[in-house]
Amino acid sequence: MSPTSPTQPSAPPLAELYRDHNGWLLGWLRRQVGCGHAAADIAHDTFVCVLEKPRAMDGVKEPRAWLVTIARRLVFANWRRQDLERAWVAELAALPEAVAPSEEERAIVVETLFAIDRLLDGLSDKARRAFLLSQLDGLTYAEIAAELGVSVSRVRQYMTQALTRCYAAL
Amino acid sequence: MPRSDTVPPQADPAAAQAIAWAVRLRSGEAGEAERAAFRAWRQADPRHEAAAARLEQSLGLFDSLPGEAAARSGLRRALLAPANRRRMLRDTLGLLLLGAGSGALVHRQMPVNDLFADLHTGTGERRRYTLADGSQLWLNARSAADLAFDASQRRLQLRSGELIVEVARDPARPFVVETAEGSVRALGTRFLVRQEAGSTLVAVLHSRVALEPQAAAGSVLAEGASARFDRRAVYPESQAPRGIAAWEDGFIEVHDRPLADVIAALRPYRSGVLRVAPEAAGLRVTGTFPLDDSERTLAALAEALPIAVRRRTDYWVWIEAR
Repeated sequence: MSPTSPTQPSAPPLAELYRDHNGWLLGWLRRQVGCGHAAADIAHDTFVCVLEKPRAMDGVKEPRAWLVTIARRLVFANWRRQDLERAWVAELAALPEAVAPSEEERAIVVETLFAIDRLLDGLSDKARRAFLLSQLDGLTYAEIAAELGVSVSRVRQYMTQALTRCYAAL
Repeated sequence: MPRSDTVPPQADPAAAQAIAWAVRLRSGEAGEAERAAFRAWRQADPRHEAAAARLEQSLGLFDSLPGEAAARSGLRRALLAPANRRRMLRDTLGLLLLGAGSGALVHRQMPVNDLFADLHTGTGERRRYTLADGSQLWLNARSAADLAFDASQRRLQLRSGELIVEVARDPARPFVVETAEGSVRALGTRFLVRQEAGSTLVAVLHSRVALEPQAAAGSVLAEGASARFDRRAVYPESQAPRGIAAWEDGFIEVHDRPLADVIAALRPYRSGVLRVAPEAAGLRVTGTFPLDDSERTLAALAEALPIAVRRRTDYWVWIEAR
């Protein structure tokens, strides 16, 4: 068998997609996020997503609309990550003996918060609060019930909802 | 884009038990005996062990966070910080300009990109929308509403089902929900409207609303109150608004209400027919029941009340007095 590669049957190959639309996507993203670096990162991640699911490319008639669909999801995620980071930095500043964490430690915390946020996505606000009061603050269900103004059995139901999501997420 | 709030682990007994154990052990009241019982359960079957390990692994995510109590509370507040409203609006605008494909709405909230839109939910589906003015809208299962915003007012026609709205302030443009019997005008922020057969139910969760039946003088409903109106009159209701609005969290919450009410609330969450015999319909019910697992709710009702749940198929279920 000769090692020459067979001709690629797939419609618009990644290289072509990148060549034809990367510049345009970058421009679109820059208008969305207003920052060149973030736009470049998201454009890069968009193509990584495409690379990870080459089959999804089949039958795409409007490559730009499709790229924007993926990119927008990443823009949302990027905003959420920024929101979480900003909120955490504000919390850090308010901590009593602010042991300034390194850049790396901070990045790990922000990524972890982001992962937890996605894990709990779709839960009601009260269920999120109940779960986080238990998981992070270590409150008992009776304390959580008092905090949220609900019954202990309701707290148990919130915990079941949240833990079910954690279980399913893996 | 149908989205289900229920996840399959309930279908797997080992997973459901592992979750139930985790819920029990975290209550703050579990003692050594309970922990030992958990260890015994875990060792009794490799499937138990696998399920418990999987849950632990998923929760291991929290281990990479700082452990000091003050920091943990800060982390919680960071996670509960709301999404930046301005960005939400900007994105709404982006959708409007671009008008490209759907399927991009992955956030918990669903921005509505249009000043005129038909919003609707299917069986078993609840949705939260962010409207163009920044107002938040929750639509219960099997509900439909039409949006009509213009320069002078914000109108929302509830065609069927039930909604909760949290109104963004805009003194220049009143926010009005219209039903078949009249309209509900926001004087404050948060209220619920349900279209029933021949009448409208309103519950005020925050601030006040003005009720305006089509053929009667209007009246004001205060926070914490609920009322029904038809075209001719307003009737006070005794139910607590928080209970009426419990579907937002995925529950039915009733205090001394007829079984028929609970079943009515459950119907939009099930396909097929669900009936109550007249002798059973008036039985009084108190409690909190999950909407997203209606089979469990029916089982819980059958345990608590002198009723029998009979079924010909999963789509034809009726409830009789026992």
